Amino acid sequence: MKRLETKIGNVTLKNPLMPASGCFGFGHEMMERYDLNILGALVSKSVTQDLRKGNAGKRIAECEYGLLNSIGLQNPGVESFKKENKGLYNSLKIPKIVNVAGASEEEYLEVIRQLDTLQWIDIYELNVSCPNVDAGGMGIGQDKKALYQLIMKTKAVTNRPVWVKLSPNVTSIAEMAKICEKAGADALVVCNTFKGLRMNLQTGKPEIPRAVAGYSGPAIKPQALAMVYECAQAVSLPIVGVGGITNAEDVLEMLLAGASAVQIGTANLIHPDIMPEIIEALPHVLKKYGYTSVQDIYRKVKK
Amino acid sequence: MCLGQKKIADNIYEICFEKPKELKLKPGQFMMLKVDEKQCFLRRPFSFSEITEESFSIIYQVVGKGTQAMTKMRQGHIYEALLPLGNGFPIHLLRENQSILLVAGGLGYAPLMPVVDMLIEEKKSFSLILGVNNPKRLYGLDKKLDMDQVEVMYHPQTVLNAKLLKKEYQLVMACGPEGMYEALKPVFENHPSAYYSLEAPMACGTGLCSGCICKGKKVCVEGPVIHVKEYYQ
Repeated sequence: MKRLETKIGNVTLKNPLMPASGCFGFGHEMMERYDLNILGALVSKSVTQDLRKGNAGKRIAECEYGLLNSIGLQNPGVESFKKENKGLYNSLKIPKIVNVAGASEEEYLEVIRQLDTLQWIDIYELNVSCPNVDAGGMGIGQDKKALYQLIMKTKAVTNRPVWVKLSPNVTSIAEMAKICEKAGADALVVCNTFKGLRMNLQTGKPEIPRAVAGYSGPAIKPQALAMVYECAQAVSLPIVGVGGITNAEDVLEMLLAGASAVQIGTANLIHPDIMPEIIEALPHVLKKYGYTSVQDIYRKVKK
Repeated sequence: MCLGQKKIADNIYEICFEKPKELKLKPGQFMMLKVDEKQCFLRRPFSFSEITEESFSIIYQVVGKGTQAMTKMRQGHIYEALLPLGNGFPIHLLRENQSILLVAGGLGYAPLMPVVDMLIEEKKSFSLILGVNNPKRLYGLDKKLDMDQVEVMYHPQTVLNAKLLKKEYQLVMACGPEGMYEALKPVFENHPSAYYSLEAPMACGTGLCSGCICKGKKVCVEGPVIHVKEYYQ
């Protein structure tokens, strides 16, 4: 039975579930809990050229229905990434997606050049939407020219599929999606965290030293759905929907809005078994609402 | 399942939970407890204050909406938790005839209690320094311990007294706020076998989010207990 199978461009996924970058480490933490091969794909935490220590001070703040984070792209750098993950990634039979970030266009390209010689990576996801760094990240995703240039140049240094993870913190995400399509992106990941802020009533200061941070969790689901919907209307690129998904019904809702696959982020932090549980529940939810398969939803949505 | 809850001091409570026999918990390890879902989006981290064959306990102070909601946890109700998490105190380093020092700052005594219980059971002698703001706030320790081996200090800075500097301890385990560890720096900075338990705001407790970094370590999976060398690096 291939009821859950989906396609993102030429890449076939056995189900539409994958972790959202930054909410699943590099995969090692959960591999003892469950077999990662049950997932549709694995998505790494962001990788930069050099080691990054991330942001100082408090990095998370709880909200009523979500979470503010200001991690700041902490990662060991591309060299250590290669050494530390070769074994695990080689052992997995599912597509491996590496999320790439940088402070400059050249840093993104250099990281990809260094990864491109490895056989155990399948897809790159460009992080042009991190709200928690001073240079690069969201700055690129908010700048049409910089975004276009980065995708064009990335496509020139690799033959692998390039997915672009967009920021919702723009005037029109549909316009950004069109830029990505024009520049040759293979898929869109919609979307990263929304800008958010909490003030501490005791101190009168922001909860998080950088003040504005990235907001995620069930609270942003309707907003993420709108972003996915607008992108799906604007471009014909496949879309991976992200934002506030916590159960199989949410997955169906995201697919109906125009996504071909989904990423699960914040929900992993509260329920580490959430992805296996959703994969288990998804066929029943499809059946309940009259769909024979994930591809069946896609065909009906496109009509 | 919750086996009961009691108030042990002003604003401080102890909850006991049932423990399956096969579940092995180490002193210094912790759990991520699901508190009232409507009020708390994230789970809450708690170290164990007592570990027996059939049960384990936690001690908490009411500081926010999560801990406020916890005061309503009742005997017989089922609660969800991820456990055990973290590395715990280095109890494998315990030897015969060792001079052992435990340093607790305020509620930091709670995670050290399973170590105390273990030392008492194995009839090992030890010293415990408890730093408290309020001299009356002994959390019932006076009932549990032979107070000859406990030194209570009312002002954290007095931790640096001459006595502590004079005596050599072979193994030190501490749990308290950052200020306490800073105060202990001159005494233990170069100690070969001193360990601190860390605390940080935590989202997942499982190493996924990198939200709880302290001294460059993920407190949840690389801690909460680290060697002083890593703390004062």
